Amino acid sequence: MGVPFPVLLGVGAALGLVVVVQSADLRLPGDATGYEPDQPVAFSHQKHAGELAVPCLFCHTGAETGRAATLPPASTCMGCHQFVRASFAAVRAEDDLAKAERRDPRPVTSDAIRSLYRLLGRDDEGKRRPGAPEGEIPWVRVHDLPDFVVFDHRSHVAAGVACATCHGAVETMERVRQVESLSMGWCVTCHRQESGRVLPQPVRGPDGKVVSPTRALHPTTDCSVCHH
Amino acid sequence: MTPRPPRWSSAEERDALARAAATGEPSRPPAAEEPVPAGLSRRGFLAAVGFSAGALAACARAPERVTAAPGEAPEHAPSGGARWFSTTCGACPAGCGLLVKTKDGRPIKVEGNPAHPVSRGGVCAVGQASVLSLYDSRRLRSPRVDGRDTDLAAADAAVRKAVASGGAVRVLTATVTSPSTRAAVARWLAGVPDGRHVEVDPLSASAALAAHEAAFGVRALPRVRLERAEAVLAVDCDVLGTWVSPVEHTRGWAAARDLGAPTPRLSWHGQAESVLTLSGSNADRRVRVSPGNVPALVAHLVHRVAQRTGGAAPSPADPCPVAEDFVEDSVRRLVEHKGRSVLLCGTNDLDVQRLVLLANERLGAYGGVLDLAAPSLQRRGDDAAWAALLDELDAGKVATLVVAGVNPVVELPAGRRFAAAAAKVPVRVVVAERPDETVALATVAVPAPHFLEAFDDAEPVAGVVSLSQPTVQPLVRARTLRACVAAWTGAPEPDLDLVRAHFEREVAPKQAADASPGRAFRRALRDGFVETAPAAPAAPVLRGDAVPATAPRAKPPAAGRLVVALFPSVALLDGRHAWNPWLQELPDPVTKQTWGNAACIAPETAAALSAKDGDVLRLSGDDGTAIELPAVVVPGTARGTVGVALGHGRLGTERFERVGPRWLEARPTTGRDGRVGTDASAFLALVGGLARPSGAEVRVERTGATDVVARTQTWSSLTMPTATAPHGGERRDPVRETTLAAWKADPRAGNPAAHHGPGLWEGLRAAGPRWGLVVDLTKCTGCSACVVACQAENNVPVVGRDEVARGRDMAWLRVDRYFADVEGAPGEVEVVHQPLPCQHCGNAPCEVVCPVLATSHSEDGRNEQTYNRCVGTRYCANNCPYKVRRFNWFGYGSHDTWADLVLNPDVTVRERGVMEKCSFCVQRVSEARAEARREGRALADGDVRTACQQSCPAGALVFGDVTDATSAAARAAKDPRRYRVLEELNVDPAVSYLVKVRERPLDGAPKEGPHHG
Repeated sequence: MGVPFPVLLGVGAALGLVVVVQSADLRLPGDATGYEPDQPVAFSHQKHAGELAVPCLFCHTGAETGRAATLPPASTCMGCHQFVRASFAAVRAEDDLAKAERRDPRPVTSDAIRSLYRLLGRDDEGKRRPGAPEGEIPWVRVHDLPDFVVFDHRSHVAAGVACATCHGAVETMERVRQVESLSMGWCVTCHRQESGRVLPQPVRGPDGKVVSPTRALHPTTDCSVCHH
Repeated sequence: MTPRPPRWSSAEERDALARAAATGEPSRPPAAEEPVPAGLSRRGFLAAVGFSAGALAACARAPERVTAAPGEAPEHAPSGGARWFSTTCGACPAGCGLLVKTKDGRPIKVEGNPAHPVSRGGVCAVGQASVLSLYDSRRLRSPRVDGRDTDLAAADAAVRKAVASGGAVRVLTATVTSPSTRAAVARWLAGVPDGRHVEVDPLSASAALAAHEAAFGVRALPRVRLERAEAVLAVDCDVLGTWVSPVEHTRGWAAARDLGAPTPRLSWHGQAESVLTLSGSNADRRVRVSPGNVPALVAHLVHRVAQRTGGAAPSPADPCPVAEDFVEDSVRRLVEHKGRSVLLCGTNDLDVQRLVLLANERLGAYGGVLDLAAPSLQRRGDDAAWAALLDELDAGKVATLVVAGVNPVVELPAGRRFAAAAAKVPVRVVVAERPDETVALATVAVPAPHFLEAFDDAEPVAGVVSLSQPTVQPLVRARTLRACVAAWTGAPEPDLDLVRAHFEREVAPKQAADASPGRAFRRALRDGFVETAPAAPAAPVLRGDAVPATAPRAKPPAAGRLVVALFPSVALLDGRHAWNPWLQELPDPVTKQTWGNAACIAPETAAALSAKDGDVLRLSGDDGTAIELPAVVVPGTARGTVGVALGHGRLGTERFERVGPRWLEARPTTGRDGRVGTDASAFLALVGGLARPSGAEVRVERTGATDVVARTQTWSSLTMPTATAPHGGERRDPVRETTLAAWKADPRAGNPAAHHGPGLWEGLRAAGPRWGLVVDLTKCTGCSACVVACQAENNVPVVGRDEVARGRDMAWLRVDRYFADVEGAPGEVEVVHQPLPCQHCGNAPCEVVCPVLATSHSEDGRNEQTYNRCVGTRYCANNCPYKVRRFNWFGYGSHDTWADLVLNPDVTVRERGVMEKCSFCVQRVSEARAEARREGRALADGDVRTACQQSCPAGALVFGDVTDATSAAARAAKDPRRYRVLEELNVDPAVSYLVKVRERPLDGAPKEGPHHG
């Protein structure tokens, strides 16, 4: 005879659940993998970190010395962008057009740079209005840990962890996307796996003398290393 | 060694002990009972509501968070990192040096500047709490003229117009330690036809100043160098708690009582006082003496000192008011250590002070313990000038009155008379931080800046110029008195220019000429202070006519009257910090009372009145002044004396009504009059041109009412009730004590070895660093600076009076205080203070009972509490033998956006329903470790200093890796005096204590017994 109806129903429900779970990309609450918010300025990491190969620490200066990697102040952007207002191709095109139309070339400002200038309270040519303070850029935080988690960039940089280990290949991203879950299990797994790795870094004693030519990593899994 | 009398922490406990001793029956003190509500069950209601809300809550992505990148990088301030500024504490005139930790442009914590010559690295509880006063949302925010908010220009115009219209101008301040302010005021008043600057101190030392002026020709207090002392006798003088410069004194006192030093020292400290103060609780020997008998006691002391040293002194006219052998013993020690001994007296009575001065001269104290060549400038107030000003005000002779840095209505004697007379002054200018009783009288009010937001200078001790600098953008439009008078002089200048100009003119030339004045100023600003050669290197000489003809007489109260002794409390001092919730909630070191003051009475007085703790007493003077406040029985209070702490019942404390959680059964933190505590300043009298804080005679009666006295005294006590003691009735003393003689004979004296069986964890513990804390009970004075330091560092919330009364205070570090009766001296008590943080047990009982692993053991030996993991079963707190865990019964946040700016961003703000406790400042450990890694070096001893350790003025706390034999903590833990509390439980605590050593009365006495000379 045929299969009893309750069994059919059960098998069907289980299959349906599998399909739903697989297709809906369900994950643990708080896991923001894939988060890629719109930013106030169309800043391209691909262009800066990728094509132009600007080192991460050029802008995120705190990563080596402090707890927070820090966002660069607008003055860092303006160091270049008071002069660079559009892509070289766009400037060239305007030059060609001006030559063709027998006029002086007009200043070209790309949409992205214009949005930066606007946020900073500058005019389209990047000139600051007299007396006006430099504005702020309200970046939307991508890698956002809960308030009860403390993460120290400096220890990780000192331990030779590459930026891409946690942040992914940012130099290929037009807009930054979170690629790792940044969940506790993900952190603890790395802390466990890296234990015992030896770095070719000398360790000095309080008097400045080298006490060990190499440094063995021992990332702790104490709760209070992140939670306090 | 004879068995020590049992220790107790409350009157009930002592009675229970006495009953148990008499009957042999085990007995325990009555436990504080929580009222059980009838009818609606709160728990049931909350459970239903909580369940429904929880069921409705849905999981959602966290809201988008924006991090604004600034336009320009702040100078030298890496985001998230701390930046330190050196400055000078402005919380009292003592002028301690501070290092201020700022994060993201706001100061969050003050620490002691170890290089500072006055405080040498310590900070008191008041200094620690002062950072919170900066973020007081009720500060005066804008100048007011005739009650209307206006701007500084309008306020200046009003003052200039008043001064220009002629008439007498008087500037009334507390002691101005700032030389530039003093000069600016003098400059302004020089251009005014009739101008005078009157300095009056709420905690006056006017008589001592006058005595020194008469004897030496120098109107200054000698600087007290207790580190040079071998014998100190303090009479009516809380030298360690509140008198003139407590941090400086405590540093010196502890240096002279260091048994762990290469050459161990233990100076002798005697105390005679009417109310049990911090100093009295730390004395080797203490007697109680009522305020009226202080002159007689001093006369006896000085007479005997003179006899032994071969000088003249008037004969005492009254019988000796204290035990004869106390006087004999004290004088013997003082004379024996001539040149290294001192008699300190805080009584504001000229006759008494002249005698004290005479005794100190005979004892060779001047040039020894008392430094008059570089005197203290922390008290300069002249009560006679205040009396004269009051007369002028009464007569309507003053046209313009400027008040700054003092609240005369409630802080100065005859304040009510001032309030009435001030109405006769046409223009009353008040420069103040917040609206108080005096600002209410002002026609022109100017907001004063907090000391953390202004440039300033101070010369607390001659030859030490200590600078202040702003550590934050000013939060209100405020101006110092110095900048005000500069503006009124017609040359408005910012404080920086005024301070710098004064420095370059007056201070820089006195320094070694290796730098330009500008560079010297910058360097002084960076260091926080500069030392100059004192103007008069030689000490002044005593003039011949110093011996008074007659001795001062005792002033016994009239029959049926008690004497009021007003004293500054360790937390609020004279009341200048009554608006600071940290200080309001700081338990008094002796009474352990929070949120308010009480009538402190001796057990005998309580019996006579048949009053017990909490009974409201009415204190009524013959002139009609009367106050009502709850009684607290304080052992060690003099008979016939009612001790009342000053500084309570202030205008503006109404704001604390809603401190603490709002819930069905919440009771307000304020009293019936809407304020916190009771203002007793009506009894602060002005007698013969001197302030008299103690001496008002009152009738005392019970009103029949009772009031909440929120004390942290009994529930956390570690003394074991006899009923719950193990078989045989063993009482395991959490504090251990011995005498100097016994310690000299055997360094393990008073410290029996603990015995315990094998533990469950043996062999399982990983080798590695282990953080430990060693507390030297011989040095600890119980000043509670560590308690507030911990609160500031670790975002410990304020819970309010009701919650404290329910035993829900949140302090991570509490100071336990134990009394013991003194054998052979009924009524006298000895006190031991014991700071008790989480003990970070190696075999922690809390860890094994947590069902969710929210509390666990770290590799470096700390017991960690993970808030986000905690579900609030409270099993851990129940299993903690030390009772150091604190549970968030409510969300105790401040709900004040200003006050929240003081929060330390490195420490999680705990939510309702989680357990918390001392973490050994894990954030500091992490920071130090990360810095060491970044620099590629190993962590060194001293890299991590916990908040409590950093603040301790006595240096009683040592923190470090106890497995590193070279660390200071490991060395301290090798002391034979070391023991651990409840060690027999085999919980292996990481906090250890060093036995308290006291010098007993007859220690080292001549064999033939005291001789009378």
